[in-house]
Amino acid sequence: MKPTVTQLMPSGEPLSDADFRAVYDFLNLESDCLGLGEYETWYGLLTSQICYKVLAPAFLDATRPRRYGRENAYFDDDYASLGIRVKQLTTPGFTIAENPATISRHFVTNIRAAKNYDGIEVVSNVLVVRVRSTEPEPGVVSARRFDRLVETPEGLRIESRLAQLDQVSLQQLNLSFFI
Amino acid sequence: MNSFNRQGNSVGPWVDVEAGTASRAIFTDEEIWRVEQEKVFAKSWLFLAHETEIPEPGDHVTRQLGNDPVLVVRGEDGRIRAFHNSCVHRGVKLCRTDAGHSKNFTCPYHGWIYGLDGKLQATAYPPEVAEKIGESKSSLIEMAQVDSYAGLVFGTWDETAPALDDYLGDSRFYIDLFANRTQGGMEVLGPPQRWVFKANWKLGALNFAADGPHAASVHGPITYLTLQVPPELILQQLINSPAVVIGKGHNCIFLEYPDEAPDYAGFSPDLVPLYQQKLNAAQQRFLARGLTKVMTNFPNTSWVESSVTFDDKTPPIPFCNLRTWQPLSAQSTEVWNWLLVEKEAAEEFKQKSYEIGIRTFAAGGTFDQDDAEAWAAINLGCRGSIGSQYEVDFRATKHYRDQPIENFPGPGVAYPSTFSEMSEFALLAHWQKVMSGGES
Ligand code: FES
Ligand SMILES: [Fe+2]
Repeated sequence: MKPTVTQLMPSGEPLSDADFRAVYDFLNLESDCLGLGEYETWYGLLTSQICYKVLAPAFLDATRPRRYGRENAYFDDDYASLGIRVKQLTTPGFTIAENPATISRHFVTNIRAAKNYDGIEVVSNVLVVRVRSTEPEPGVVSARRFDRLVETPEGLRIESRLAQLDQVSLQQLNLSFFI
Repeated sequence: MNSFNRQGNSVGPWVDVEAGTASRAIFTDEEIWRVEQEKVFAKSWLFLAHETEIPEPGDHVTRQLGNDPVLVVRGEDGRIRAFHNSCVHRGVKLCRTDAGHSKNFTCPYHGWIYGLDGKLQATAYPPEVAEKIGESKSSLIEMAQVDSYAGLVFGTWDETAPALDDYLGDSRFYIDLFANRTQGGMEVLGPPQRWVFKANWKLGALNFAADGPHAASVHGPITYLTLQVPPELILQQLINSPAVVIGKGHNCIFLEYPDEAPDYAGFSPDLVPLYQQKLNAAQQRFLARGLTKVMTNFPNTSWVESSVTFDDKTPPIPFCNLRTWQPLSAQSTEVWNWLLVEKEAAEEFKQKSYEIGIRTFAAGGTFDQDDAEAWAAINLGCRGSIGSQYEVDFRATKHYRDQPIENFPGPGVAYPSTFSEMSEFALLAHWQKVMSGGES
């Protein structure tokens, strides 16, 4: 039998090589936009229906986990609110946290994708390395991402993203970037 | 160079109230931080949890107070207790989850079992050995006093500390505006977010005590992007809004709506009648006219509430933020950040308030991102052997200190401008008193 990873695999039909290549290229383009601070271009890669969430993890008892309240989200954003964040980040002088800009790099790996009725489900891992003017030691943020991409006349676009961050206590003074 | 003498001295004085200055060393010096742990943090009432985080007997959450792990538990009797979260055998961190529910706590090392009341229940050692260990008499190290106000659970390590009500004093008038304004009270919207910045905890506490001027320079642009309020207007409101020295080290500022705005402009109309039932007339005035209120309860519990929108189609929605500044070291602080909402609020409103809260004051908050940057930069400016010998400046207080607002409608002494820096500096003045053993 073929070994499978059942947990949180994208559901749907496998992609053709050409389709997978398109997804792969798209994620690389997107992560370069983020890493290079080209946020307006990045914003153009989202659909206006975008649901963008970044969640914090928790350490819970294996046999008896207890959660309370809502999910613990660092981001729970839509197209309008992401637009404001993008304006804040891209308008000169609008955020001291990004002036001078953080030097950062996004690495995307472990990509799996499948096609279904809603679009293309993609799971990936992402590692962000950040070097800031106020903190010479590089900071690291990693996450597992669940994306839904849709095909539009302009090419692939992101309709939803859920990123599950890996640090319970962020060793970062802020999250003035996207993941 | 300043006049503060650091030679072999860690209790100060580091704050010169008359001159309106303080030594930069209070933000960077590890020895001052160590003394502060004893004089301030071991003696004060510290915020632990909101009651709604542990609603049922057996529910617990774990916290960090400075570098000390703390376990907050609701017992079978419904009472909330707080323990140093370490096994009395060899000091192992006992409960290593963030939140949970259990009948007891089993140490991961040799399996000693503690009840929800902290008492050692069993060791699995032979009876003769157990007797020597004092099995029947042992219990976890317990915080000396734990008490609640308006669902807010505080604890202190000091058995001689005054009662919580006494400690919070007049700040309860203002706490009510954040967290005690409807019959049902508030609930947490989720577990606390945590993040670390490389700067002293007092920078956060002072900023929320609160620093008016930075709100124009640092948050002017994002305020403009979200609320479409021009920076000049924000600046004017900050200059004309009061800073309140509440007393006992608690301090706040109110950014008021311009006169033409209606009452309760930023609030949900459904909840306003509930506020009117619960709050007294003076408190209602504050809530109705306040656009933003920011407060620090001494030493390290802070509040901010405002109304914001991230969408030009929806009116501003309020969020209520509560946080602590945990002193990890002189130059490193962990923020613990909660969002609260009225229990009576509609589910849809709760979700909206939550979204606004995390987009403004939280790890991914558009306001927080710039605050932490400023504090990290203060640390870089003050930590060197030359830089730390100089002062930080609160001389604006000299202009305002003799101009308290007469007949201010709330408790404390209020000054006519958040640019007075009076409330912010009063926190430092109180800190100095506590450091010198004068008051706690
Ligand atoms: S250290 Fe806890 S049982 Fe030994
Ligand atoms: Fe601020």
